[in-house]
Amino acid sequence: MSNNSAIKFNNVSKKFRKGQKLFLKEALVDLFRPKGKGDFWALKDVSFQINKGESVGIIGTNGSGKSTILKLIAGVLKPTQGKITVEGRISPLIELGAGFHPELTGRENIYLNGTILGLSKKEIEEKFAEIVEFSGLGDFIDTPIKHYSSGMYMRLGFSIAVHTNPDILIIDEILAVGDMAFQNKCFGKINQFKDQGVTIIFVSHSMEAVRNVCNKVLLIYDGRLILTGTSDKVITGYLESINTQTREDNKGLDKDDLRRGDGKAKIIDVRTEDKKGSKRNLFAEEIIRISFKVKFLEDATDPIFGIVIKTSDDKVAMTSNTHLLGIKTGNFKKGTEKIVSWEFKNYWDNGRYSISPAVAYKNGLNFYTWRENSAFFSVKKPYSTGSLLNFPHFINIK
Amino acid sequence: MERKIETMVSRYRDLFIQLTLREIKAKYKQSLLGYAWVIIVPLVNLLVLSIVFSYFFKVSTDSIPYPIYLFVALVPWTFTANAITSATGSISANNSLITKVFLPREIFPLSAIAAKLVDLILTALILIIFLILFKVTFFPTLLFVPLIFLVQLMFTIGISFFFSATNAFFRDIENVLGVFLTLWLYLTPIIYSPQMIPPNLRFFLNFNPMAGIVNSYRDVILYGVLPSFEVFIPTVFISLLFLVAGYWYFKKRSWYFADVI
Repeated sequence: MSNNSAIKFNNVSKKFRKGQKLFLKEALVDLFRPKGKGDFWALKDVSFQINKGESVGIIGTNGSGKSTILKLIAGVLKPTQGKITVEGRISPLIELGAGFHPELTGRENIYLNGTILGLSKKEIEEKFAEIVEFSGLGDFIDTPIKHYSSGMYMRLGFSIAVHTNPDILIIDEILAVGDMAFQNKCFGKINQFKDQGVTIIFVSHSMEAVRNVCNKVLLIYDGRLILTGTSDKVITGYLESINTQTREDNKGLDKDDLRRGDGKAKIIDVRTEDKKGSKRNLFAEEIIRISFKVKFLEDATDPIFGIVIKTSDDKVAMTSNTHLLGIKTGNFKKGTEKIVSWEFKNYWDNGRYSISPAVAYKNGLNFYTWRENSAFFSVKKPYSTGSLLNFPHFINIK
Repeated sequence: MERKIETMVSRYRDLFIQLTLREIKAKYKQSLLGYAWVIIVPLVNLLVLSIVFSYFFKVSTDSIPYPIYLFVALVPWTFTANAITSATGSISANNSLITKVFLPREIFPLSAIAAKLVDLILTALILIIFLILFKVTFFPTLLFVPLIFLVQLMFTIGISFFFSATNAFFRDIENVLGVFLTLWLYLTPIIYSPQMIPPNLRFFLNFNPMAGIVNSYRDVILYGVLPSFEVFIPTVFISLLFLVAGYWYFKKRSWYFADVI
């Protein structure tokens, strides 16, 4: 291994047993199945090298193997075949609040989460003021974090993670939440890390963010590394491949392309309709109605229903959820099915838009389910404004 | 290299302390009475069992008052039972950490057990008050209590390793555990004395380290004698076996935790 390498994968493959056998019953049923039938390869013969100080993005569709790569880098999974060499202290930006305890105060959680991320008590004491300062939590630091808003929660989490002095920083999609101001602060910190020569591994569905952070990108498809190169080259290739793939409209739903969430609720049917409720995918100047059917597999209290609408180059065109609109959704018993629908005036410009519906827990941080790009619609108006928006307006000449 | 190992040890020591503190603090913040429950529950248990077994079933304990005879065994039993319960759920409860950060996974059951030491200290204090109230003589053999406790701790940790690692794969363990512990309580001479077991069945107690452990506590605390070798040696041996085998099993299984949870 050259001195310059931070992470090296040599012909790495990872096999999982399909499905989680968390109950004895299922394992017993499994005994009678032919051996090896339930196996599936999450990664197949992947080799790459990431040098020290590089910022590398990993992109790919859901279930392509991105998270598996991150877990192998972090050392929580062992490869089934091949060899992985990692040099340096790794700091994963873990799922927000994963190591937090809601009953403890912000202060106590800094110590807890800091030691989880590899700091000693002494190091935390030295950096404590800095962490609080960066989080902007001020006096709230001695309040139990169950009283925090989701924004405060995530600010604290990010602040601790970036103060761990990592050699390798792993960022997995967490910047998707939080307000713009804090997001900018986070990207500022990431850039600062880059200047300091920290190796950054960045996974995101936002191509914009990947382009901003990374100079090299790996494209993973179906467990294989299919393209490596500069951000521009790989992202362009990826977006093209997605567009051809999704021509067969809205078919992706059959696959279980759960992106995030514990799967305790399922989104079954995502569709776009006109005002009268008939299904359609092409809209001109009218009302667009988007609806999905959700089935709860466990009891749920006051979940948040939401959608994100994105353009074909992956820019967010609109987000909406019941929490933003101040709607209390109520309680749902296990097995309940509900249809949630939105009505939008069609203010968008010509183009193709994707819909990513989600059902989140009351706290807004954890998800029951989130389906990335699970349906599409197109807008075709008499003229294009060449921008994101295209809405009725007037021009007066006097 | 030496420095590296040193920082590794201090890193995981701090983490171990923080995880243990989390368990302890969270417990007393979550309920109204907090740590009072740690004392109330065994006291109620003691009261109920004392009434049932000294008035209705008349368990004979010779010169020792029944409540004391019972409590000396009930305190360590409660620690082991609670520690096993808490450790068993510790891997599944920390799944978000286990799938994201590389940590030695044994730290989770170990800190769950360590947090229960606080409960043990509190109940042991109550036991001491009881011993004084009932005017039990304090024998010099009390010095052997820490040794017996060490054996008990080895056994508790060993069996916790088995249960917590298995529970990561089969959540059934969590459900079965309550029944298992109740059964185990009745198969151990805690509410009754070993002399009440028919002599031809007493042999089987050798396979239950908890029997050897509570009997040894009674010997050194209540009777002022050392535990008999033919009871204590097998207990030490089996406890050590549990610890070593449990750790080996846990280590082996722990590589696959992130695959399944």
